[in-house]
Amino acid sequence: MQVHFLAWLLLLSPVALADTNATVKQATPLLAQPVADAAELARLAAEQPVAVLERQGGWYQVAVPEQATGWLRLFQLQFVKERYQPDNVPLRELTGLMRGSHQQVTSSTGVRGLDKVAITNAKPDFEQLVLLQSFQQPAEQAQTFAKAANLKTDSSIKVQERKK
Amino acid sequence: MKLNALWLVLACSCLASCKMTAGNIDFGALSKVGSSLTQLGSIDEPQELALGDDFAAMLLGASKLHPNKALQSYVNNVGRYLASYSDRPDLPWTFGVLDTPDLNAFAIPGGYVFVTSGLLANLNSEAELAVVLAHEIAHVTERHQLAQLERDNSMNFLSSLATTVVSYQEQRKPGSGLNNYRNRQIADSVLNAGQQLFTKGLSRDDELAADTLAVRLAARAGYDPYALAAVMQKLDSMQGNSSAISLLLATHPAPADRLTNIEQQLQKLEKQHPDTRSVRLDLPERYQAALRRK
Repeated sequence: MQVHFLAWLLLLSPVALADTNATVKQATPLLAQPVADAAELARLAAEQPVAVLERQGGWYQVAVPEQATGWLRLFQLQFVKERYQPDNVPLRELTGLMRGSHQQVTSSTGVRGLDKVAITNAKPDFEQLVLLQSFQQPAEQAQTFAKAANLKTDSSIKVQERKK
Repeated sequence: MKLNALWLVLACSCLASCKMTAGNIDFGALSKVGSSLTQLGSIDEPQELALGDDFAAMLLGASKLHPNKALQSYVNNVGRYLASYSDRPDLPWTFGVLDTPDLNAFAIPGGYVFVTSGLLANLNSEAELAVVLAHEIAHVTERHQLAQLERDNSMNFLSSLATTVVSYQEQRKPGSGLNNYRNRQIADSVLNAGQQLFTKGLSRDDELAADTLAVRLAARAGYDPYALAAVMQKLDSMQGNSSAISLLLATHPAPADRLTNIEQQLQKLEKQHPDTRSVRLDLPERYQAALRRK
């Protein structure tokens, strides 16, 4: 049964939230707010299982079983291995799911994986290259796109710290 | 002999842009090659663009573009916006979503960047997409692929490959009196180079450097740079769990390794710019909407 991850989150999120999916790396305080000087709600021991609710910058909001819900530093947390299954359904099927049929999600006919064999056997496809180039966006359009979401650049941040 | 030729080139470059020829050799052109070597590694930008076209066509031969055009435009907008703040804002930046369940992203010389639909389906926000694209943009601006090809092959490999590619493009033009045998040979040498890049990957140092630049580029553009850490934690939890990420893991340092560097870079960024944290955006809603739009 292949169910798309996003759909899975959408449909089963209350269950997913109650489930622990991560552990605390080392003893760390659980804070009331995602800021360093917030009130400490509890002290979590290393290996403590938690359920991740959301991320805000360098902080995760977690639910601790039998304890409070609070915030801890992003790097204090490790997701449980083997629990997170990468999706094996191409995105094309996602729209099918959103239209309401679960059955459409499972088929992925004609779409292959992109592994070493596929790359080694590849012949250049110049028609696809022309199609790809038609998707290019002008720089001005991209600026409008960024403004629409209120993205604000910070020119004081240099991408290269030292110039070669 | 070699020494004599070198002296000739040096002598000619002293004469700046003079047009001097002896026999069939254009020494003015030779001195130009000399200057582009120092500026751009070993090939110039038009050659890099021509090489990029062929590598991109090759990757598209392995995996087709995703049919959702609105999604392709969305990814191009995010990518083009980011690239405007990179060190090479004027490249013809082109972003493509490959229609495959595997999780991966690729950078190609000249400004092509690809992400797979399998990776998109596993990201949660526009910031997560932005950091992935920023990592690939950094490979292009730093010319990591070109350096890798040069390292992995004989001396002057790149310049001869670039010459080959330009001649290959000429032959593809309609009515070029195509010599099929020669054309196939040329195509093979380009394909081999592309295969090397996509299946062997880059050096550990170049991958970590691209993460470092991605954190800074995303933050400069107004995206939450912690998204790169979140993506890496996700990849870390998938490790060894699926064939869908086997090529990505085979061509990159271990996610845990990358996380250590990303943590250091984020700490450094916070120290340098402590007061701008709150305005960096994640945009999960716009991202989810873009995935759903037809």
